Amino acid sequence: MWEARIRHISFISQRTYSSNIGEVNNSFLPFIYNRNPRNLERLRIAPKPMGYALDDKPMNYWHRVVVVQSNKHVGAYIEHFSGKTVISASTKEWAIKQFLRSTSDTQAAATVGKVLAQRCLECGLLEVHSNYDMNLVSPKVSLLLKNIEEGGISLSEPEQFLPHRHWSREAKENPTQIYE
Amino acid sequence: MSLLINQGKLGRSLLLLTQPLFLQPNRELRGKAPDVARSLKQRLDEISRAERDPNLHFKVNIGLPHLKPSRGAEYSCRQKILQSRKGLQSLSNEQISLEEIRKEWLKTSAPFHIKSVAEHYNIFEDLFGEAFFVPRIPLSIKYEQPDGSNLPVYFGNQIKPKEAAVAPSVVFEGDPSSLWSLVLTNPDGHLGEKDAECLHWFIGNIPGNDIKKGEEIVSYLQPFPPRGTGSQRLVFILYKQEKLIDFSSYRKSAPCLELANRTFHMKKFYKEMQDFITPAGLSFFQSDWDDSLTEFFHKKLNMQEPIYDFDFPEPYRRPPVWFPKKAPFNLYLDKHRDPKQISKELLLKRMKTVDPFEPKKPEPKYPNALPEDNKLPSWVRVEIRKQRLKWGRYSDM
Repeated sequence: MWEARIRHISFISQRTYSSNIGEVNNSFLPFIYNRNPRNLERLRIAPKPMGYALDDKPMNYWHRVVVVQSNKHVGAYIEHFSGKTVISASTKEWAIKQFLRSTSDTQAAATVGKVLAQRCLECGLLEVHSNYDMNLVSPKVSLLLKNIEEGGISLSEPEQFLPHRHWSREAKENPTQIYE
Repeated sequence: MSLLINQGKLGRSLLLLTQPLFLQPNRELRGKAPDVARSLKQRLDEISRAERDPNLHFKVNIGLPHLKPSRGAEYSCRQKILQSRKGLQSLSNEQISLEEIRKEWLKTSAPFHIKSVAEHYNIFEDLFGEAFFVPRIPLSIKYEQPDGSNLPVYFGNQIKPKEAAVAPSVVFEGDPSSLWSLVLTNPDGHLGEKDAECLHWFIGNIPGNDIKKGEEIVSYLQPFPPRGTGSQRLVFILYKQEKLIDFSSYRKSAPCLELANRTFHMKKFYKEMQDFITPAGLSFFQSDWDDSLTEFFHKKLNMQEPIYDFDFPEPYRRPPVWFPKKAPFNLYLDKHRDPKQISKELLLKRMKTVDPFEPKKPEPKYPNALPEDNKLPSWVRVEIRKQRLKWGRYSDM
């Protein structure tokens, strides 16, 4: 349901620069349909679920990090609010396991954090939500999360941008007009 | 026994107390009982399942088959490595290199991970409809920068158009006798058609893994996401060819700067060629506007630079009435005015106060402490106060 709302988006043309204009390329539609489902989340416009008051852990995120621990293994993955696992790293993988002495110690947790951060950067996720309180979680989990942060991933997501109303008191910048 | 209790007054009240809440006389049961009724999630799933009939909508794997190594051989090889590591001290954090882990990952679980990321970016559905593939051949694509560094393309990382101005170097593993073709397409960036793609690069009949020996069917064009459209996906797809293919119907003469000629439909292309090509590799990046594109639009594409803005849904406003009760007339009327007209008036007002040849006036430290004209009506004075505090629409004044 959310997905459908995100995908039916449109951009309206407002202004055009005039210059030495050819006649070849100047027939374009007033609308562009950007079908990239992650685009609106990057622009902060996409609807973000608010969750429910009685939720154990609040469901207000686009992507969140989940740490999985067992007696033998440590792992972590990034989950979208629709329930899809986007990318994961775990000591169960041969690629990580073969370099570790133990698959469940602090070093394993740190390595999983680093690898997950690297994979997040590679798949274009720079900001993920974290439900974990660094002061309450076990040292292993906090080490994993710290390594994700050191790898260049921010563990907090920006707020959803609500459209500006011309009568409202706050002045807002339009996220589609902001470029890093 | 229950009949007996029912007869007595005490029995009836006892029975009421032991009944569940919704069976008590002053309470009505709305809908089904909680243990029978479905949850919201179950109901939504049911709706989505009804919309997508599994007999019609199912995913087809069109990729290369998985040549799994023998489990026994793999196991003994892995055990040997683990045994050799057992006697050693554990590697320190610095000694575990991420590059080596990544190399091993590309050999083992990377294809499945890349597939799930591509599904998250909805690439298979937008390009192939109801088909998907597991990218078995890892692609190493790098954009060389003027300062000598290389920007790799992974699966969804951000690369600015400025950095992708020149065609990248593409490396993959392939037998010298095999034939390949490489397509770079943008499913989000077609300016003239709704569900079309813009073809940025197409090289066919690549012998072995040498891109330079392949035929360039459509020459490279840098990404040009217009201002305000956000990030667009640019997808590299590597096809394995069964035989030498004649791509003459897709061939375009070298610079091909007419965008209408670059219209492409991956699904149609695959349908036409599916007997001779198999998708083998996938890599994609995202790109959004930067300031180098203005010149690119003007000089290279020889066109106006289009600028877009997100089309927010209109806010709900109660329909206007002739005599609104208890509503301040100025705010009420403003709410129903055209916001463009309001901003135009404000801009004109601002241009009257600002002089480009004079230095900017220093702003008062306490703007609302300045004297007010008491003869003005109160709603005008309130507007003046808002303007002094730069609230809302007065933020630019």
